[in-house]
Amino acid sequence: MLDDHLIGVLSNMGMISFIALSAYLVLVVGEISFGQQAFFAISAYASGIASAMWGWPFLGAVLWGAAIAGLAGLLLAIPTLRIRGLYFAIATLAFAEMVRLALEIFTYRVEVDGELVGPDGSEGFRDIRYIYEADISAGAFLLVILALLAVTLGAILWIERTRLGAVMRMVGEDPVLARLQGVNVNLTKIATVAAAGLIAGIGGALYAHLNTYVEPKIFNVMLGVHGLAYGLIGGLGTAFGPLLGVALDIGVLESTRAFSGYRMIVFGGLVAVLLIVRPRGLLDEAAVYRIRRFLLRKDAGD
Amino acid sequence: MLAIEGLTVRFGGLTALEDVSLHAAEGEVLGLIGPNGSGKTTLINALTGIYPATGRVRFREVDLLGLPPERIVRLGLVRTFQNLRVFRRMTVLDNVLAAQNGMPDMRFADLVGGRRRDAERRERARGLVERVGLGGDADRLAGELPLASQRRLELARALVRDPALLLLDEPSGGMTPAETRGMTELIAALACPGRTVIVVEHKMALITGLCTRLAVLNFGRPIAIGEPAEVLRRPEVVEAYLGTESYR
Repeated sequence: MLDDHLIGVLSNMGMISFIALSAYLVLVVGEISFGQQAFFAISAYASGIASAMWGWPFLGAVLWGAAIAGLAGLLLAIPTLRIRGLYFAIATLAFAEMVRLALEIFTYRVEVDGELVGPDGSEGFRDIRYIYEADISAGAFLLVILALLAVTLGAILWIERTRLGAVMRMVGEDPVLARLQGVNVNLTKIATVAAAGLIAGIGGALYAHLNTYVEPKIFNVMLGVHGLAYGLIGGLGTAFGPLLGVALDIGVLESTRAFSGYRMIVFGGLVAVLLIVRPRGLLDEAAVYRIRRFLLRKDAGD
Repeated sequence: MLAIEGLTVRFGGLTALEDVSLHAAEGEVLGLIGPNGSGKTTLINALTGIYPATGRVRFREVDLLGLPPERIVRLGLVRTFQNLRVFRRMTVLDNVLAAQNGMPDMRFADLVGGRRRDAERRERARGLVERVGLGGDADRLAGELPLASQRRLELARALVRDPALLLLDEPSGGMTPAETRGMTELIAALACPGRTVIVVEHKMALITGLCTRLAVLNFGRPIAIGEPAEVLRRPEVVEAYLGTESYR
C-alpha cells in the first residue's frame, strides 16, 4: 500500500494538474493568464456550499462548482476579448485578486445540524465534511482525483487531435492568419477561456473536499503563477506538458528532501533557463512532432 | 465579379490608398504593379478585411467593406502573403488541412469529430500539396521549409478552399529566376476557368507571362489600366518606376 505521505503528494499533484491544464489551454490560444487560481477558488467555494450547506451529493457538487467556474470564465472572456498579450495577463491578474478580495468579505452561513456552516469572510469556509461523513479514505479520494484527471486529460487529448485543436493552435500562433483561414478567433478564445475555467474548477472542488477547509488567502497569485509555469516548463506541444511540469515541481522539488529549502530557487531558475533555451517548454511542438514521427516509424517498421 | 469603387484607406494623416476604382472580370488574371509603397499590399489588406477602408467593394453581389476577415474568406476570396505567413509549428499537410475552416458544408461535428470526418478534406489537402510539388515534404514542419517551398505551401493552402477570387501578393518574392519560372507555370496551371486571380508582382516576366490585364498604382492611386505590353510603354508608368529626367 501507499504510505500517507505519498498519497498526500499524489493528491496534491492531481489537484494542481487541473490548474496547470487550465493555464495550458489559455497558453495554447496564445494568451497568458495569471488568474486561473480564481476559478479554482470560485469552484472550491461553490462546491463546498453545495455539499456542506445544501446537502448535495459529492459528484453533483463538483460538477456544480466546475460549471460556476466555467461561467465565471465566460464572464471574464467576453470583456477581455479585445485586449491581448500583456494587457490580457494584467486583466486576468486583476480579476483573480478581485475574486480573492471578494471572498475575504463573502459571508453566507446557514444552520446545519445545529451548527452554523458556510463561508465566513477572511475566516474561511470550514466544515466541508463530506469525506468524513461518507467515510472516504485518503487513498480512495486519490482514486477519485485521478479518475477525474484522466477524464479531463483524455478530453483535451481528443480535442487536440481534432480540427478544433488545430484551430486553437492556429489562433495561438497567428490570430490574423487564422481569421484568414475562416476561423472565428473571438469565439475560439471565449470558448477556450470558459473551458479553462471549468477545468480549474474541477481541481478547486476536489481541493475543498479533501482539505475540508478553504480560506481566501490560499488562492493568491502564487497558485496561478505555478499553474502557468507548469505548462511553460513541461511544454506547450501536448497536454502531457503541463503534467510533466507538475511532476517536476511537486513530485521532485517539493517532495524530495534533496531540494528542501531551495525549492523556489531551483524552480525559479528552471523557469528562467527554460524561457531562454526552450520558450515553449520541454515538450514543445517540435519535440512532440519528433516523438510522433518516431512512434509512427516504429509502427510502420513492425 | 469584383468591383472596387472609390476605395480609400487612411492611417491617421497618411492616405495609403485614395479613391481607387478597379474591376476584375470572372476568370481573368489581373496584374497589379507599382513602386514600393504605392499601396498594392494595402489594397489586398483592405479587400480581405484586415484594414478598415471607405468606398465600396462588391464581390459577387456582396458588399465586402465592414465584414470581418473570416466572413470574407468564407465568401471565396482568398489571399497569400508577401511576407510569408504559414503556421510554422504545424506540418505542411496540416497547414493545408487546417485552412479548410467554415466551409459551406461544415458542421459542428466536423470540428470535434476527429480524423474520420476529415478524411475527405485530408485527401484534398494531400492532392494539392502534391500538385504544388511538395509531396515529399507533406509531413515536415512548415517552418523548416526553404522560402520557395513555403510560397508553394501558401498557394496550396489558398487553393484548398477552391476560391473564386485569388489574391497573390508577390508569389515569387525572394525567389531565384528558376524558382520564379516554376511558380509562373504553377500559377498558370492553377488559374482555371471561373477563377479570377489578382497578382501583385515586381517581376515583369511573371506579369507578362500570366496577366491578361495590368493595373499600375502610384502613391495610392491607379495611374494606368490596360493590356500589359501597352501599359508598360506608357510614359507615366515609366516615370513612376524610373523617375523623370530631372530626378536622375
